[in-house]
Amino acid sequence: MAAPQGYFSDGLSAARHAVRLRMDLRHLVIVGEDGLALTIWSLADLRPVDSVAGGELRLSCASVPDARLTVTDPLATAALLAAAPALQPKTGPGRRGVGVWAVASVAAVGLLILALPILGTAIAGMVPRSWEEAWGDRVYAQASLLLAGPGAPECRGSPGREHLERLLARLAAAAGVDGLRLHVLANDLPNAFALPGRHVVVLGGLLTSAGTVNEVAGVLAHEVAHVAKGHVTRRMVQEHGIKLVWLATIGAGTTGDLAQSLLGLSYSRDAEREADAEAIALLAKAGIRSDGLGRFLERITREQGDMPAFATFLSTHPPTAERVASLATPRTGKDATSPDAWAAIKAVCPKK
Amino acid sequence: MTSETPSASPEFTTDVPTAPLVSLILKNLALAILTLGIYRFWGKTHIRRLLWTHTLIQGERLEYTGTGGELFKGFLLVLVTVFIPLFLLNLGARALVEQEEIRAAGAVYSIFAAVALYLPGVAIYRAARYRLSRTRWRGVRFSLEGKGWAYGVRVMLFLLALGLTLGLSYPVQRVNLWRQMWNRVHFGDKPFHFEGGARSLYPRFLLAWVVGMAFLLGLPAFIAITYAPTYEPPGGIPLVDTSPEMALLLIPLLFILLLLPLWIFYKAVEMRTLAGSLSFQGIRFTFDVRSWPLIRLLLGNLLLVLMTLGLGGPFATVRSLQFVCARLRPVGETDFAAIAQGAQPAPASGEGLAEMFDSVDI
Repeated sequence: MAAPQGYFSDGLSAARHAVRLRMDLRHLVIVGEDGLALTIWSLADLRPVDSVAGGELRLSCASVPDARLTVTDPLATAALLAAAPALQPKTGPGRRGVGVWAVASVAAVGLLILALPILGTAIAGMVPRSWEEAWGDRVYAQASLLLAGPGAPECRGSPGREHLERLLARLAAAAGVDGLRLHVLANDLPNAFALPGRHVVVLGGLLTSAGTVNEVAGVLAHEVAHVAKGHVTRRMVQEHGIKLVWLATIGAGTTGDLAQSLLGLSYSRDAEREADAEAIALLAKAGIRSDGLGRFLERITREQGDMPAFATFLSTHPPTAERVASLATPRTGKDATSPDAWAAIKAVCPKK
Repeated sequence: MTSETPSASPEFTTDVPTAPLVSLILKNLALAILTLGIYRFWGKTHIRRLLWTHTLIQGERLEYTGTGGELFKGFLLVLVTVFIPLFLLNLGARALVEQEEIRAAGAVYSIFAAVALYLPGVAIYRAARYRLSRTRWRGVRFSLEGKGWAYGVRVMLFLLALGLTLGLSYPVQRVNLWRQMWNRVHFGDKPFHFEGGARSLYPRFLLAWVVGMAFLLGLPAFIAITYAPTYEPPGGIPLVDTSPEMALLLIPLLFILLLLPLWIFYKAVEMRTLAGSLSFQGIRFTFDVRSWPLIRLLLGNLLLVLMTLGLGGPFATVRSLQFVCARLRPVGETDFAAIAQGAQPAPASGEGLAEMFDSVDI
């Protein structure tokens, strides 16, 4: 036999035959080594099989879908493609495609990162309040357990507790938020936070370590701002949302957690900046001096040290220096409460 | 009568081109985001077609005949029949806990856990079955007998046995599972044959096991010693002592540095043995894999995937494919004319379960 022009498998067995090809206007004749036709295919029935660009042409036939013809002779290939152009192997995106799709994917990822907080806020707005409260009650129970110990009662020292409630109510009114529930826990950490379901938790350490009542007011305003801006519910939704969207679109499991953490932290830092700015506005609206939060942060940083700049992207808060700078405001407004009320507030939690 | 020369030993090669693969990955990313993930099934199919088409046995290319639509259908099927019921079971259990019906919650949760433990084994089997049924060489299909239900039970029971034997049953289980699957793999109408035991695997396995156990048993003691109470100066504000944190970082690091080479050392002999126990119609296989190249392959793949946030996954697959093709050698000859097209009914849709458990990577 002259040099084979291709190889043929009939789809009934795994045997392969070296073949030559003959073509007329409507048929392709596949001829075996002994010169006899193995089979005849109609040109209209020819179907492409995945081939490599610049490599050998692979075909099948609609009437015998299991059969395979691989054409190795370039002249035969050219003749076949001329007769049946649909057989031209469709290559996917090639080298030029890299540039095009790189731009497209960067744009798509950018869109996703921008859209996530909007999606998060939208979904958060749809969460029924009763769900959020049920969730928040559970989280509060855990927080109380963790911070104050099992079965520990909240601090209720009178009249300090009532003064604190009134202060919180003023800020809530300024923010247009209702239904805030105040808790004071016996814990020495100088901190306060907002939970889903409109819980505002103040830790005893904040009251004892604050220099002035305005510092407490500043921290409270910051937390009220978080609630007013919907950060708390949004965070609750985003915790799961980012991971779900990442999994759906990119689909690599473990990196979803990483993405969630990094993206979540960056949204968190934006939320903190927003809460700081809103806190100033709330304090001004309530007629309270607004330099308290900045001073509080300054003092805490002096006592406990700030994190190094490069670790910022791992933190939930922007660097303190940046916050203090943006919180510096002229000292208009009155003290949050009278000195007597402040003394009472400091005594809300029993002394150890 | 066949006109081909007696078959030379079929060898495995791969020639996946870089630029088209990069294009595909980026295209999949962009379209997956824009379609909120729906496109992923089609994207995955395109990548598989590229990889399969560029894998050759005896110089002839494989074919992948699956479609994105099949994967999508499989996904929807499993969403309705498995995911939603499981989700509801989980919710139900949690609701019962809320209402203090602890015993009922426990019962519901046990059902949930049993199903969740059972399904991954089934998922692996069915994913393999789908992919094999969509793979052709010379037009002849591969196939995998059975539906995977028994395989899933086996995987689940083996998991329990693994716990009961403190991990010692691992090599025996691996060989057993391979046997269960490979004896049912067919090319055309002829099955593969797996014959071999786990005895030669135990020396290296025990080495890794002993070191791992020593580590796990010594860990509590180690933690107790390093976690000394932090020093509190009279001022009242405790200084943060950094050494417990450093210890916590060192422990996993030591674990990895010590145990990883030993584990790979075992894995190399496991792979060699599994391949050596496999035969097909007179062809046997040798897989010349050594520990150090295997470590380089796995670490390289890990780095690749981490640094590209998962996008480089297909390239990790290509590296593994090249690794295998360079080291897997068939020995012997067979008469391909005697292998007929199989009559196995092929699954109509694919991999929904594996999709759900995120165990599909190519």
